[in-house]
Amino acid sequence: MRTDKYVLQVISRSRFRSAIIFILFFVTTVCLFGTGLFTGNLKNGSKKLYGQTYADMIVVPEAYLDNTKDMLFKGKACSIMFKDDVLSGMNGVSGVEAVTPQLYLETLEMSCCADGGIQIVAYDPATDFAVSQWTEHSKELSGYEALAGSGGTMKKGDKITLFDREFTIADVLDETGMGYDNSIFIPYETADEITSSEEYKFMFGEKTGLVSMLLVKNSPDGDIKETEAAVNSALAGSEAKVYPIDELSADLRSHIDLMTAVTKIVSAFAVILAAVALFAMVTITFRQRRRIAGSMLSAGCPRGRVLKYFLSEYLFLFAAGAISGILLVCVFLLPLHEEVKAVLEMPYKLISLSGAAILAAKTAAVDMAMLALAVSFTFVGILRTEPAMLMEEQV
Amino acid sequence: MIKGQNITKLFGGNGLKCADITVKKGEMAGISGASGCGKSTLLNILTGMLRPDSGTVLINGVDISSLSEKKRTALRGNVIGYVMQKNSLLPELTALQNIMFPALTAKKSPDVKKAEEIAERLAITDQLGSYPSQLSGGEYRRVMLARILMLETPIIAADEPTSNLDRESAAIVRDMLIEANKKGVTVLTASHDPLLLESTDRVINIG
Repeated sequence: MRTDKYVLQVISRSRFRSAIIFILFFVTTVCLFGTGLFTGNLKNGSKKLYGQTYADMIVVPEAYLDNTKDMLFKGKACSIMFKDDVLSGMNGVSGVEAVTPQLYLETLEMSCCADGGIQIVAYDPATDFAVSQWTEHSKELSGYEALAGSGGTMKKGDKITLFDREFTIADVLDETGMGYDNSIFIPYETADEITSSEEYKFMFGEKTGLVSMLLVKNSPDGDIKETEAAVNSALAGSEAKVYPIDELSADLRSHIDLMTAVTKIVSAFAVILAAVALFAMVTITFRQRRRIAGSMLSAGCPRGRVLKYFLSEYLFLFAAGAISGILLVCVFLLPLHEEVKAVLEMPYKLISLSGAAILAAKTAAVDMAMLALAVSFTFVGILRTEPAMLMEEQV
Repeated sequence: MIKGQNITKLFGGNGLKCADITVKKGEMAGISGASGCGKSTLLNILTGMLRPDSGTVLINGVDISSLSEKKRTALRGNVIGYVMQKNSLLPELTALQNIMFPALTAKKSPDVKKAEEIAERLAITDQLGSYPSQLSGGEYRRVMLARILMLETPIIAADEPTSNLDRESAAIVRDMLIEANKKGVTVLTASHDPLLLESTDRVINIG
């Protein structure tokens, strides 16, 4: 009898048993793949906080430290302003490889963009080393061109009106997982022209000669502590101070690590419970399987084929449970990506398709290991027992 | 020919002790004995479902005790058809699928017409679409016999084929075994049923 036909008939006739096994694989997959994807997105979003940073240090006024963290990592509106004369003081400071300014002009409510509004950020294309990490176009931006964060609906070539001026979207940044996703970047020179206009001053106040932050890149062979000391020394007398990104992101990193650990522990418990339940289910149905195996063997069905029938049934339920679990996670987690990001208030960025495929493969491997563990005792029992003894009642 | 010598199989001290049995080709033989004397154990050993503790079993001159598990299973599908005393239909398959299961599992094309003919002779045509749990005891036993008749093996071993059956069902099963024997099939049956034992050429008492 064709294995697939037999398996489908067994599953449809043993609905309760099949449903339980399906649910166990489904739950395991949802737990493993769902939490894996969630923590993977967190890690992916916060990658720039660990290791390779988009800037090594940030210069902001000491009083705005918390606001800076919220703005950088949670995408909250920025109201930091300080005199830009500190920029000239940074030139030639030992250990500093590059400095680039950013000015957060306003947070505007726009139909194209996130509910919390979109930040208009002015940056200097000539010195930029931050925005360029998410678009190659950042160095060439000029005039009334703008770069859009990935969080909105804007596309390359779209027109957008900012401060009564029409800008063309020159490019859209790759997803950053940070506040940049809900930002629009314009060139510093254009921002200067805008903030110098009487209309702007009337509407938003005086912003000429101001800056929101300076991003500092440490020289490759420079010690960050020494550079920090040198920069602070150069900034002496001003309200600004330099902060290494590692220091700014320490709380957030520990928060992310804790959340990741807790999620993994909960997931591990769920998987262990599912594995124990699957093992129990297989063991409970062992007596019935023994009799069926004995019956098949008495009719001349080879032992290998008997095991193939049983294994195929489990594999079918495993595949159905695993695929359904992965689809459910994708159907719920992907469309709600922006909402999840907003609720979390921390860096959160989708992992790549290949990363998701690897995660799905790992999940399937755990499911398979669980199945192998659960059925191995049953199969060994069937393999080692004489056909006549399989038909006996006592197990 | 079936020949068993000094067959012993003990379960905690009880069971079959030094049994000898010889059944000639084309013979219909019965095995009788008190309950627990080892009739089912002997049939299990003769059909390769169980290995004896000691002794030899020759089927057409081949010592099946020394055969591998795979070859003993093949023997049951090709040489010996075994109707077990215990319920041995597959619960998830219909009666018809159960009857055709040995052929289907051997990847032979299922002969539905032949299965229906056998079912008709066993008066279970109306039950072919039913699942084992929906069959009466008599119908269940007849489906088990039909499954073996489908194999057309030269030897049929049947363990208590008429036990717990009503007179009508028992008569049908008995007649089918006699009919198979008349066609040249060697039949070996363990039974307490006097009518079935009277139908055999010879009764072998094992205790």
